[in-house]
Amino acid sequence: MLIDTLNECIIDMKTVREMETASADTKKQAAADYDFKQLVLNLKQTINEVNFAVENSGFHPSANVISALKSFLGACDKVIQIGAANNDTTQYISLETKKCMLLSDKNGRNIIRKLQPIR
Amino acid sequence: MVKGRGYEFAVLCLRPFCLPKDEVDAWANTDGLGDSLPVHEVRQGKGWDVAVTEEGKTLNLFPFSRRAIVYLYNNLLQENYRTPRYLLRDVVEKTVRDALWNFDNFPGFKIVNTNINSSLREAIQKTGVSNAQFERMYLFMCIWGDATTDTYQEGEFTYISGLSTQVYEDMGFPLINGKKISGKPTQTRSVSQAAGQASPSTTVVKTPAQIAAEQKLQAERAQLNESLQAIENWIAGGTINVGATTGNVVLISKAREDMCSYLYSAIDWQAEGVSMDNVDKIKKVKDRLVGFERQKRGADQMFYKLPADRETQAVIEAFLEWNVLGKRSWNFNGADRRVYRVQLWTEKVKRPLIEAITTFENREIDYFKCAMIAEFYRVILFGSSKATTVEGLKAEHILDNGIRGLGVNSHSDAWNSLLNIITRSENDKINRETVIQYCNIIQGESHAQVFLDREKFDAMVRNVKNEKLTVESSILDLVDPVKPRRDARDYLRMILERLDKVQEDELAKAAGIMATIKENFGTTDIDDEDIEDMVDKIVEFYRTAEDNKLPGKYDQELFDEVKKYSMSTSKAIKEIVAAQKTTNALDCILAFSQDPIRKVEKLEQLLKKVVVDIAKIQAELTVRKEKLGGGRNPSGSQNVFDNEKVTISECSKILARLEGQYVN
Repeated sequence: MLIDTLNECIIDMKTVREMETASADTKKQAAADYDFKQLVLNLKQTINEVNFAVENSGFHPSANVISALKSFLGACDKVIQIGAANNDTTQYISLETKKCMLLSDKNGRNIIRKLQPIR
Repeated sequence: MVKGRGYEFAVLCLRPFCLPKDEVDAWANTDGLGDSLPVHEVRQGKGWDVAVTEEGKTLNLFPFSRRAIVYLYNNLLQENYRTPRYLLRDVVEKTVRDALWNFDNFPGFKIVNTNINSSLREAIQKTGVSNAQFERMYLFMCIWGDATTDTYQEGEFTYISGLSTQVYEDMGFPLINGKKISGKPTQTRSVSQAAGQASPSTTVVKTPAQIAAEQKLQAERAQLNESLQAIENWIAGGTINVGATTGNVVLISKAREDMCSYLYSAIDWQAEGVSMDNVDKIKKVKDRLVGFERQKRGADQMFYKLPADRETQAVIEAFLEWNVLGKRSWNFNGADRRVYRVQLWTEKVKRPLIEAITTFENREIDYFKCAMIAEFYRVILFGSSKATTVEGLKAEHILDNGIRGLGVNSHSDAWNSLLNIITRSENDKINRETVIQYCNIIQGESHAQVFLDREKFDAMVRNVKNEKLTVESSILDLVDPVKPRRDARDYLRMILERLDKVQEDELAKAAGIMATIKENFGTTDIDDEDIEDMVDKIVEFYRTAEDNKLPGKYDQELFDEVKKYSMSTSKAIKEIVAAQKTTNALDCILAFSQDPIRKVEKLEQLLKKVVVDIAKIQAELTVRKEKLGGGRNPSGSQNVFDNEKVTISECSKILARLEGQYVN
């Protein structure tokens, strides 16, 4: 009977819609997670560079830098514990990391560049 | 030869028949002169006409008269045979033999009478003689006598038509009551001759116009005389070439038309129970109301054949005179007598004439019945009647429903084809006109007032309903000779022949729709609430589809229409179910007459649309499900940050080491 077919079809349509709505959110999260992963990689590179500079040129980072970097790592660890990144957090850490690396260079040079002549 | 006293030769020739042979031989052997001519003693033929010789001898002319001798000479002998030999052989001997051996029937040989006098005929008829005796007496008085009714006394004898009463006694004829005149007419002439002669010349000088008018009158009267003669010849056993447009037949043809026109107007058809519609239809055909026996042309194109008898002759003559002498009026001498004659004749022919126009093939005309049945079919097929059974048909369905155009409908092709045939060439109008007009009673000379004979009309309606709007094919195949009447018959046949096909196609079309309904509702027994519930569900389906951006047009108008007419749709479905159960074509088309298919079509359209759209949507849903990974959870892996966790840990160690070693 048509009325039964209609009922089945209506339920089917509603189910697919729910699935599609859910599917759209996952893609958005994946993009945020990707950005977060890039952020972690960038943070790792920054710390490795600082470590290289210390080991090879006697450079001593300020306590603020180390604190900031530790803070950033802590924030990232929270994100990892939640299991889901969000753009606001990622953008925030990314922006703050860049700011931190510029803090110790009050003469207009960032840490990395400051270290380069020594190397 | 026979001019003036030329009949004397014939008189002399008669002598041998009257005298002993010796006596005649002796006269011939002596001198053979008139002076010595022996005269016989009159034993038979006393009172008959006589001839007086130059020598003063009176010779009895029995069985002749002087007029008879002259007439027979001129009429029995062809022009090249008018010699003494043939006179003796073909006139004298022939007549005498007939008188001697066949006197009871004398004159018994064929003589063409050209001395016509209708007054004389009437006078003879009034004596009450038999038809055979009449013909003999009329011929005798026209040929032997002077063809008049003149009666006069001369000596010891009374003369009628120039013949003594003794002659009539000898012949066994009754005496007519003739027109008395003072004495023997100085110049006798036949009426026909008199009619053809101009008035005596006078010394008055006439204008050219008067002369032309007189000449025209003479020509007309000459033509009249020729026509009268043609009628006389016809009565005598000849044919009549009525319908021809030449010669003496023109007037006779005209007389026939005048007789028909007269009968149409003189007979009160309605009072005699004849519908004026029937009369009007008969007027339209080439068949004439009356025709003549032995007419050469169109012998089968008449309703009533007038016999070649003296009565018919008198009537034809009356109309000839009405036309020529009265200038198409009864204003001429002797018209009163003619009118009386025609009126008597009218009453006589009325009954057989009415029977002739109200019957065919030995049965009453039935074209009106055919027309009414056809009209009922037209009303049913056009849906003008709300009846869905034969019993429900009423007179009002015909009277109140005029002609309709085809319009838009959802009937089968066969049904619409029949509607086209019904309306082709305005056949529907013509047939309806027949139905309406047949029972009309018309009053007033100019048809000022028309009333419907409702009782008669209703009786016909009951009749055709009782017969289930059918006519047996054997009766329907009978050929009505009147085309406009036959048209009604053919019109009905055309409809009846197509009914089975219409039934078949209509049922087939309905079956398709009902299959769709049954397939989608699970039954054909559905009510309006079932339809409304279905529409509500369909609306929900389309709204859901629309929300999901799925194909399928949301047709609000269609949904509203189906829901609005759910009750009539439900009723129409029940009508179709009933129609599918009918067992004959009439019941079937009656059940389909209100076009229930059209009322169900919107529902069918909606159901078909939904079925198609469901298929489309289901296909689309399948594709979209595939895109979603076959229905797996889209939230992904739970260990998405395992690598980052390790990295953070390593970075924390580096920072801790840096912090312990180098931070001031």
